[in-house]
Amino acid sequence: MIADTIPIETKSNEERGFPTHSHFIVEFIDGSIRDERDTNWSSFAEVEEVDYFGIKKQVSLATLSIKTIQVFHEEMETKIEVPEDCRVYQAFYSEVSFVPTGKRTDTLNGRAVGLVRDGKVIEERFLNARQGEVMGIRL
Amino acid sequence: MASQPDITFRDANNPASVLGSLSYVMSTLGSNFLPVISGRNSLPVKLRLYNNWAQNLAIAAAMNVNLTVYDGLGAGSHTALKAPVSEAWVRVYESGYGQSVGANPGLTAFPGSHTAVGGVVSHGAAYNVYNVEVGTDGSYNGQLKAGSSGNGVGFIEITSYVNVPLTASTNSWNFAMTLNYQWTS
Repeated sequence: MIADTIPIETKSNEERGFPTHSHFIVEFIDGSIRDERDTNWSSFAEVEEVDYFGIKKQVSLATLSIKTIQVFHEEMETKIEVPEDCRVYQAFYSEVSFVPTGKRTDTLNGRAVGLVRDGKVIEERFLNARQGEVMGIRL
Repeated sequence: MASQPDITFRDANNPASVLGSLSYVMSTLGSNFLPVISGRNSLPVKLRLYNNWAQNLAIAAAMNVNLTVYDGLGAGSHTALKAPVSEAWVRVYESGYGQSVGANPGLTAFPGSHTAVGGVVSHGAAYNVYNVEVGTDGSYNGQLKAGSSGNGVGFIEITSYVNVPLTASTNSWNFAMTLNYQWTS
């Protein structure tokens, strides 16, 4: 099964820098399933430059054939059925801030998942942790 | 890769030291900083944004990196009410990059585009951001990598100054510099 070809991650979500409530579940075209709680996206994805609604952007695209992807973050969730001619990407959106007193803070603002067809993003959904809602854009 | 990028703001002249403060001044008189006169630019300041200074294993690269300014932390982390922020006084540009498998890599200079950052906040994000032009490996892709394999050190060097408008009144401002990025497990 496709899922069996992906290494198992033994570190917890927190050890890798993201909360327990945040994870993806992918179903591959053969029906096998992997959950981010024991999987790294980078184990089956590669970074490529795509056209993101008129500008260039780097995304981490899955190299394996995915049937559906479900993403969870806080109370939000979204699920995408992946068309045969599309590839999937997803990513955490983070920020690090510095103030004059030398204090630094790290914040996870949410996570995004999207579809790419022929090098162009055709849909992206963003689970916005700052506003507590799922936002999206589609061609 | 597996773990979140470990990004630190460091002193460009002494990268072993995490930045304690960043001051925009016009000149110095002994140990005193002199304020920036309205209508003039401050002295430029350099800082380095490192990923994985600690050289831990399997640290993710930061993608689509951009810089901007906000009022501060907490409630001010995504607002633009202070003049230097709302009026986009702060200019930033990339002035170099480097990455290596181990130890602090050498600097490759790069003449980035001077960009005003800050401004109106819409949907929680500043209107003006500086998109990093060259990544740590010299590619035009704005990535802050943790070395070439996720086990090393990568950095970009930023030079920044403020352009104070003629209409600015006398004041002292504190605000936050924020780096936004994306990453995967």
